[in-house]
Amino acid sequence: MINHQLDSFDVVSRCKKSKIPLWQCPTFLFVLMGLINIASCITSYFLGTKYVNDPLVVAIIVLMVAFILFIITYFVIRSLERLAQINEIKDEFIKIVSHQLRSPLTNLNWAIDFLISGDKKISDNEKAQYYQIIKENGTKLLKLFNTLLIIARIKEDEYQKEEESIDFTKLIIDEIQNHRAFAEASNIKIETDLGKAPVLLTANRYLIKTLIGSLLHNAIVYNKKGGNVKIEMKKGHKDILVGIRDQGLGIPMIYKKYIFHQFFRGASTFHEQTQGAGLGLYVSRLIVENRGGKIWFETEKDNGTTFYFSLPIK
Amino acid sequence: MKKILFIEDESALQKSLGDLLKREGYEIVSALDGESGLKLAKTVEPDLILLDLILPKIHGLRVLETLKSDDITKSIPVILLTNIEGSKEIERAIELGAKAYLVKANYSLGEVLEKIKGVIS
Repeated sequence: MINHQLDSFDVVSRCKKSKIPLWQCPTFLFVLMGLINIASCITSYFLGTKYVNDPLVVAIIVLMVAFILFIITYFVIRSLERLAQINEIKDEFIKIVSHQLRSPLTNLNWAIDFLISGDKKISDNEKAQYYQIIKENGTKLLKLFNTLLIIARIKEDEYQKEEESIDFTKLIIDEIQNHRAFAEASNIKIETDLGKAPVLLTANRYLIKTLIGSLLHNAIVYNKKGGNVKIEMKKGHKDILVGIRDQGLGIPMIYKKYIFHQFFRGASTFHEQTQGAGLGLYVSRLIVENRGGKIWFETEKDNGTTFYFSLPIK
Repeated sequence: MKKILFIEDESALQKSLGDLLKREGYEIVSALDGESGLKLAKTVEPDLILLDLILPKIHGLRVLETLKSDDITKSIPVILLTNIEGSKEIERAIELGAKAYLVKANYSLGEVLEKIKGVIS
């Protein structure tokens, strides 16, 4: 804890982390501008006392100099902070995405290497297992590419042009069906309460499917052993409310601010689940907000988390 | 028969490299996380450990550190097999006593086998 506090004063290493020159580093500039501010105040005080007789005027001059320098410092640091943040995000992006791309690619390559290694002793059953590895990892790669494409293109009009009237209830049921084998393999049961009447929604089918799939996948992966996932849907006058509940460990409140950020993965989560790029909830947020809706969660320690989203009915 | 402990959370890699090594006449003991890997290293006392970095429960570098500080396991050669290419990780692994640091994506299955043979012999 103390070490962590001391680390925050280590200007050089903090700047190195952002991988930008020292003169562009906000932490360094904060310290430098602070020193300039102090020096300017002292100088203006001495100059003021030398040339101005009224102490009140001297005080006003010093305060004005301090105020102007403070404003300049604020704007300079603010703009460079953004630069540093972008640099850090870029590095994190390269690190996580390259790892998440490399893993399935290695799985594919090595599986193919084994199959073509010319050994005739590979049984049909064993070959089938390798084909399954190739299929699973191909799907994993495709999913990651699609997620990255959504992030890059969500603001474009293309997705809105592809909006259509969709049976939202059926889409949820289909997505549950797509996750059924994965849930059963993880010993997780999926329950639903989707109401009786089908709900129609005008939206981009692919994006909504990605949204439901992502939240459902998380609810299975981060559930307790033998736990349940419950999907509820309520239709209001103006919007649709969906809740997807798991029975996992819950999300510590310290993560609340970051949970929908890109690449965020909680330390306790990462401890158990090493796979994942930390993009699922970020993409979910982008999809919901782009469609004019809201996304949030409620959580209880050791008692699970419910992710909710609401979408306006167009 | 030489024994290899393979600590790797990707079951697909456990299978492909594990099957190849078995075919080459090695005995393979598998662990899917750092904690069970450490336990097995002490009980099995393998001739070589293949260690991933990003592992559930205990990180690979921490596993390596523990292995190298334990009298029973410190002499067992360790090869890091990972997809993390950071210079910090490589430096730390070599400093802790890893025999080699291989970025999985940069090697074919056959090339990894050659590296393993080189270390284990």
